[in-house]
Amino acid sequence: MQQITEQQILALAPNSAAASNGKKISKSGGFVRLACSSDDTFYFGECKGSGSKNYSVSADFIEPLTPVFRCSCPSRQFPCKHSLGLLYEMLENKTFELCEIPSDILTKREKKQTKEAKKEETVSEEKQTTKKKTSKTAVTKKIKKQLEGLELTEKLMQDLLRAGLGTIGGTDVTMYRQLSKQLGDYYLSGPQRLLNQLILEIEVFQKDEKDYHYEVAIEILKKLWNLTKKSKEYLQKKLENDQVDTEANVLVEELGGIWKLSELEALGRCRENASLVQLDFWVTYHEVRKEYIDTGCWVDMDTGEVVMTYNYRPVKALNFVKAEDSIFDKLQIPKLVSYPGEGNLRVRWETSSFERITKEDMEKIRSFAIEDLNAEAKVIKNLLKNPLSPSMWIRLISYDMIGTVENEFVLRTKTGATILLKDSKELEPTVEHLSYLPNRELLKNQVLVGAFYYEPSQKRLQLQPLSIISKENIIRLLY
Amino acid sequence: MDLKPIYEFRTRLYAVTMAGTQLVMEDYRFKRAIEELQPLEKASPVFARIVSLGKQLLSPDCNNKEGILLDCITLTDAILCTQGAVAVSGDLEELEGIVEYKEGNSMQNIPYSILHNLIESLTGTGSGRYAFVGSLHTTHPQYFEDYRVKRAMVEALSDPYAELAYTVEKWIRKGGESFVPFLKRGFLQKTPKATEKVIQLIDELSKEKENEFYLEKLPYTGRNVKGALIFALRHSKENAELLLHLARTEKGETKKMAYWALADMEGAEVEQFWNDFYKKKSQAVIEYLTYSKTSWASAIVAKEFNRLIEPWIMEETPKVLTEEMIEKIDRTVDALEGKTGSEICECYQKVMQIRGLLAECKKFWYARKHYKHQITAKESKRNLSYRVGQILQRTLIQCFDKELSGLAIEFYEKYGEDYFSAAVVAKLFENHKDVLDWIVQQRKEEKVSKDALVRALEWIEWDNKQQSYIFKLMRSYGYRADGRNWEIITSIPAYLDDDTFISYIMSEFATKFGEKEINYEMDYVMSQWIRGEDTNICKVLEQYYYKKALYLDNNISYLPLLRSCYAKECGGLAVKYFKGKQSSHWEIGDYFRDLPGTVENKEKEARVVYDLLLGGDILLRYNESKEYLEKQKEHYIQEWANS
Repeated sequence: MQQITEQQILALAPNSAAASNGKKISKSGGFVRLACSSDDTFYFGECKGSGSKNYSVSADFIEPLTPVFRCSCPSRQFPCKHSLGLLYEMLENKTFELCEIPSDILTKREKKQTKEAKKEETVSEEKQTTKKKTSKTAVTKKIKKQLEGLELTEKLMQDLLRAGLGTIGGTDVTMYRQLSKQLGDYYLSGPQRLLNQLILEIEVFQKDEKDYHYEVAIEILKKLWNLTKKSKEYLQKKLENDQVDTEANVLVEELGGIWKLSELEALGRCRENASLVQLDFWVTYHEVRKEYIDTGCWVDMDTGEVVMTYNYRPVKALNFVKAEDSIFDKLQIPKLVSYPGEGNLRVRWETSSFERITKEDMEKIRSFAIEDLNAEAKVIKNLLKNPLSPSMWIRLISYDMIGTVENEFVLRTKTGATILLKDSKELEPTVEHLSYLPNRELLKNQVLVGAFYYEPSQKRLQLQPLSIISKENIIRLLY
Repeated sequence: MDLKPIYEFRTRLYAVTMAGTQLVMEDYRFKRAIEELQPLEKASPVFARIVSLGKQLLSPDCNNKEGILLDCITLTDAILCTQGAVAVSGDLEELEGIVEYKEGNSMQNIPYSILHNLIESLTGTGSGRYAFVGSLHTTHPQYFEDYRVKRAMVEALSDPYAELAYTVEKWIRKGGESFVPFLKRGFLQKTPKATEKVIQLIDELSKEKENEFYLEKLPYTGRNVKGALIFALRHSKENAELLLHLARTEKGETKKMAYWALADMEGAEVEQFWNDFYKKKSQAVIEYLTYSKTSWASAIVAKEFNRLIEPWIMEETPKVLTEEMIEKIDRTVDALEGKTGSEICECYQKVMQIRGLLAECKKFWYARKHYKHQITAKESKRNLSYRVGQILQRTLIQCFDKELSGLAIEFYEKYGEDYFSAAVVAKLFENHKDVLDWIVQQRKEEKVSKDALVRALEWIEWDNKQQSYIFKLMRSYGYRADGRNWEIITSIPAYLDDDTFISYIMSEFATKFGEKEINYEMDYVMSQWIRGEDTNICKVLEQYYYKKALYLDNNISYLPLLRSCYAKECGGLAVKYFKGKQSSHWEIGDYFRDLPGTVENKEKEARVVYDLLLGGDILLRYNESKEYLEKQKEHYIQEWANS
């Protein structure tokens, strides 16, 4: 019998409702027949449905990490609740009678294999033949266009600052919005987003008149300015050197480029047989991007680095993009790809399998924690001071105690170093949760997953707690 | 290093950003900020660079002031970030308010998709929240033990959707002491009413353990909240002096709350206070002492009782009762609850002596302000004797007393079934093994009706936590007018460890009385006795309830009873309820949500109901075309079956 966990089913489900409906079908005895092939690669079920005929549901495990589901129901969801129900039947260890793999499934398997082989051939051919062609023509043209766009952005910023942010009126905002739209023609969606964010802050200020928005606006301007400056240098250098290959440079993504997994792989940013454990999970809404961002915070069990996953779900396509969810098992990942950057690197993968987190795993995670807060703070500040770096750096930190000093939450390490625990503006509040923890022991001699950030108004480096790693558990303060 | 000049310089840079670079040369404060920075120039090349950039901004020849301004801001912010403080000075103290939760509190692995929706439903606004929270509580009760959910539950106490707030309040009460830290932290709610509720819950769950908290909050709260805090002070003897002071100095409602609190306290000073007060306003005192179980309260109530009754016993005055006198006697009879001792026994005897005379009281009893519900025909027949029997029963449950126990049995033998319930409690506490035989005998001899049997047993229920049967009394305090704030006042394990007794009662009702005989009260009481895993009793009751529900046209009240015994069968129930009636999809869906049974059985029933709908045997309130109904058939059937 294929080993399957509930986590795995939830991860495969297009949404939580589909999973719970699948569970209901399984629990209520919806399956009238269950069968599996002798080689354990094919599972079949006959499920009662609303139609006059039973639905035929199957799960093909020829590639165990990417099972293929098929169902005769008319649902557009994939996998449908019946397929998930079949997985729940497997989870419950129900009896499956032996059966032959149907001929149509065998044909489909063959077709799939041929298709994949063809695809691989095409990709390698493409790599060899068209690469140079693309480099010479399109890439050079694109870089020139981007440089033009960056000039425009610079000019726009100069105009803005010459007149002063405080003098911008409603008409100016409309004009800047139009200019921002133009940036789309220059392959500069990154600067375009920053500009839109800037305009949004000014607009909000005009409504609520809170000075805070101007503080944010200046921060955005700072970032936009540095991005423009560095990108110009980088692109000009590329043009001068006639260097058109993609490089693992953070500016590529900042300018709006989207990395393909194959590109990152080609750049050597791929590791085999990695394992990750999720430390916390949250979802934010990005007003300018008009996207929900499912953010997973993970620890790499081999390197101890804290890495991130981002799943972008545009509001317009919410029904078509699968939402990510919290994962409480350890993931075994055959191929883990990481993005270029600093701080917590973004990672991605295509297939994974689930394993239970053991006590040894917990010990290992705890061993990755930093002990010397003062030395680490210097490194963190050096990263955070760069306007193009992320505004937070999530680390594992070992602590002696979490308590209060004059009603403020403070973390103290074993060496006696202290840091203020405060909520940042970018995440949901978590500090208050420390008062409600299920056990007092969690406040002493544990490991904290926390986001370091610099708070200018307080003139200090602060830490927002995200999770506590005890010997037995990961206690999440978010989700 | 003194960083003040850098901070000042940064402020000036931000000001330039706001005002525009075209005015920077006229900004004398900016100039001064650069001058103040100049001494730092030698300290580090970075400062020298900043000063140089600043000077360029002031130069009339500079062509790219905007770029320089942004470079200057970047550099300044980078310096300030690297210079940012990390350490926090001061002594680290342990977090206040965290208690060890021995049980019922944990961190559950709840996926974001559920946890986020749950927290939003408990703390947000909009429709559909109650249904989501309710169904999740049924399917995943363990989620409600998670500390993040508990925090949201406390916030939900002030939800404008009263039904949700009330349901959550019930769950919190059931959740017990583990909620107290959350309640304390969530003390300040959106409305004073909800804050009052928080204090009442802490009061119920923690009692004197949170005395410090009540005292700490007392000076900073509004009238309603203050009242609840004053009342919570009754648990600790140390508060007697403060409460006596408040009883003298407070005004209006808060003064009354001090009285209610003092009525529950022991101690010579308190006793003296009430004795003095009694001399001034005897009837007011009796009202405050209605629920008191203190040692001194019995004497005061007995004294007032004798004062009122004796003239009638001595036959010194003509036997005409004024309305005012009836009110007074009525109030004093009420106050007998929870009072014990020889003096109180004598009072009961005296009541019996003049029971003929006091029979008139029934006219006034139900009209009293705290009985707001409509009086049923059955209730209107209940007289003073019935009421005294109930008071005796409740007193025995709350504070068992040998003398009163004997009196209950004596009264039953002398005056009949009105005292049966009190006698059953007395027997249960004194000699439980014979109780069953005794009840069987009484029933055989037709001395007691089924009604009396229901009254005798209605307070017994199965407690899952204690894994035994208990007596559970509910009551409302006189000051609570909303009728919802019931408090469990006692929870005594009844001597019902073996289930012979319960089984007998169940079999007596479930097999000897036909399904045509309606006694919903007893059927409901029996559903409270079901122990989760007790399949035998469940099977007996399921058959019994099922038969009854099939017989009744309006069987909706039997659905929860069937669910409580995990019924699997439901065939014919919905048909019985809907056939020949006018209804709507919404009502049918609602009925199916309450309907017990497996999905398979519910689907079968749903198909029959839908066919009746198509055949016109069930009339829809809103005319829908047959075509539409045909088209939607499977959709509705699946929805109803899976609800």
